[in-house]
Amino acid sequence: MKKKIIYTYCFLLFFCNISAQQNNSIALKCGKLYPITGPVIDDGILLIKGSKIYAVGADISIPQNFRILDLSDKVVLPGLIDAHTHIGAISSRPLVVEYDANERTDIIEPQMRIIDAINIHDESFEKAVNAGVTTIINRPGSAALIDGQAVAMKTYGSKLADMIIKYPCDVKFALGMNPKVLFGQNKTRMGLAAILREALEKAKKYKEKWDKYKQNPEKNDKPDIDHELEPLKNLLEGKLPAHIHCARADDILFAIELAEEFNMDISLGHGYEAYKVADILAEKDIPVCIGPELLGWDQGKKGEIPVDLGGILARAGVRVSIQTDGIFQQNLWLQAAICVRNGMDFMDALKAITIHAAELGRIQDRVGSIEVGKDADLVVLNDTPLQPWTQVEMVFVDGRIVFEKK
Amino acid sequence: MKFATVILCAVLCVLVSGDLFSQDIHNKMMVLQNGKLLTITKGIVEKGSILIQDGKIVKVGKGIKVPAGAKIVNIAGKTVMPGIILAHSRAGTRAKEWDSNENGDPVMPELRIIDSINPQNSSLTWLRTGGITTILVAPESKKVVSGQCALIKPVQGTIEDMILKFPAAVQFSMGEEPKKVYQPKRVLPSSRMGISYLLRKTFTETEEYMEKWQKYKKDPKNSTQPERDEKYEILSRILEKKLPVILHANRSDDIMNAIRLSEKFGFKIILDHCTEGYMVADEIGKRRLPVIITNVGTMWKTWEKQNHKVENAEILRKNGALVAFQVGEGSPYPEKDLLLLASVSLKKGFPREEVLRAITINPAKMFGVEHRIGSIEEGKDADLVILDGDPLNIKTNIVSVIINGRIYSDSVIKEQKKQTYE
Repeated sequence: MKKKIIYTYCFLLFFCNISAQQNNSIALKCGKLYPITGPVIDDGILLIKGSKIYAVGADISIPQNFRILDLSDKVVLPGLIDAHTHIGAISSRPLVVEYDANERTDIIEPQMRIIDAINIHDESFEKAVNAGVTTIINRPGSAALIDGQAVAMKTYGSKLADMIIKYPCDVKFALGMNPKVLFGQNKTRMGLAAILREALEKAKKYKEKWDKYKQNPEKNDKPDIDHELEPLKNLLEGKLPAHIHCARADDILFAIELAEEFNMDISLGHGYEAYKVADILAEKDIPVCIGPELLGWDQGKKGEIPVDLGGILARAGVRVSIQTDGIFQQNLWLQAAICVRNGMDFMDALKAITIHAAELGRIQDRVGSIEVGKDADLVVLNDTPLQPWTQVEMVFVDGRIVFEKK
Repeated sequence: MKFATVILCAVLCVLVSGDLFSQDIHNKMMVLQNGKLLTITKGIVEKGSILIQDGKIVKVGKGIKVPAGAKIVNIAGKTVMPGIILAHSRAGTRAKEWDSNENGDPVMPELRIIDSINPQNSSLTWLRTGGITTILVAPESKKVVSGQCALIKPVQGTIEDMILKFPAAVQFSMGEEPKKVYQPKRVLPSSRMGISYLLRKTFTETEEYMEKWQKYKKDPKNSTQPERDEKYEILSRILEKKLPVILHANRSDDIMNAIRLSEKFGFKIILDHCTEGYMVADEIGKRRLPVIITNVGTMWKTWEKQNHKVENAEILRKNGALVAFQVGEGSPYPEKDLLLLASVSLKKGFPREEVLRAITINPAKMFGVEHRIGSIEEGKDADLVILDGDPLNIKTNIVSVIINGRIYSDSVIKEQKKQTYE
């Protein structure tokens, strides 16, 4: 008898728990809604059911069981995405030994997994959430030629496993100055190219071995698993894209050449000189993630970066996203604002911190815009986005309010 | 003959009435007509005009009578604000070669930043495209006393043409920056104790130097003339309160050390960065100290900036400090966009009109040049920025920049057009 009661109690508890999650039905009455992938909606209604967006539009009737949240004087945007960062792997406190974003023991280290280095309790995560940055693409690097595997993740959560959107989302490569100098050996671009080709050729042979085995598993011996070559094999099979850190235009062209040679899908990071090859990038539809430096003149360290780099690329038809590359996610708004101030179209700048960043990480089916079926990650603002005075009022991640301004 | 005259007249008319913004004409007399004037010190004048003569503002207000021969520039629908002052920078001293720091002795007030500024350096014209018409150029903070700073205007010409005030201040530094240089060498100063000791020692020596000279001047016949020392000459001007000290201090204890030292020896300080200022805001506020704040945080490579908060500016202002803004060393964001970077403080309640003051009249007051620049007032230099809307709105463009009455049309828009990918 006693056992029965306990069972019933447990069952009830379990049921309540599930129903509580399913009952997360919220209707947002939004003053202005930027779906990003569609036109701006004035006085729109957004329905959240569970963790997903259930409906969105101007004339939607609110079902009975939905809790109504009146945001009629507010502006609603999809949660922001920082297209390249290292938070949690680099401590938010400077000069500390907790620097786990680079292994630096080999120049080719695709076996490194950024998820093994992320401290989700670092205060950067809280700062990101409070600034409305709900998704980040966290990558290793960029000291080595191949730095390891990246993850697309949410910034809010109590367990890394629950926060992951896609792992691995790409393999990080670095060309030019960083692997030349940071790795501690003085190499040349010729030398780096040779090492890179050799690694990819090795991966090609490894892939062929596996293909042969899979064709006839009974006759052929099963090849040994090689952790170093496994991610590269995924690249060559088209299962994973490569994200390539490059600054100079010739490095960008080399990246494109390499991608075609080995049939890889690529995206580019930083791309300070991408304006010189904007037409090629647009024609081949290669996404570029610019920043963190957004300078017109930068004291001679990284060459001349046009102050309107984002605008130039966007107008040429390149899908541009923006990165903070570090611990200041709250500056993602400012970076987009700088782009607008210097000539980038306002909507292009918004896309650069939402949908284009999602596309760069191949996670556009989950995040990056306000569309039915996508995760209910939202930012509520008190005024026009990107204006310096605009404040974040509320942040939703997976349909739950995770930040509310006091 | 008649026909030719008509044609000639027509051509002349087109030339004269053409887009004046697109021409660099140094006109002796010019009237900017019917714009919205943000004078900073005397409120907003709607549909106001400004008469400029020989590089100075002669008249400001409504319905100014246009003198004969004056060039008329119609600015209807545009907004005019005073030229922006960048209160701390290394502009002009760095390109492929860096000339912003001298190695050697930790106390070198005799160094002059004007000897390192290259007027041809592209950063100067680049800053101008952001509406910046006056720049305080300072040597790096890697020494305890790193040299004399200059207030310059980014105009075409030699350094003499550019200087508004020199020396405008002397750069001092406390905390991590000098430690990073001298600690690895195992020489003084390797700690905060060492820095403070060195400053006390230097100023005591200066007092002795000044005494010697005073004694000599009282009775030149019966005493020998002391030797002139350039180092102590500059330092004695500081102790005479004729020259302020820009003091790089981030941590709250560095700030308090700086205040203590300035009160012991009696000199004027301007706190540079002042990152943890909010922790001792009452102490800074009750002394009405000027502060030049780095508003936007970036990836710090130093410990002493790790407690950076955007609230800092507003907390200090509320407590009574005189606030100005800078962009800060190694920022990944364009220094020319100071207007936008300063506006970020709006998020934490910094009032709109105060943002504009913090990049115009406040720094002018700090460096004692408020009679020359910082607002649209009669008698001041004609340093103006013409915009097509609210200066704090990111969608607003800078149309033209005027320095000493000369229109520089290398505006942001034009630069962009040049760089636009065709």
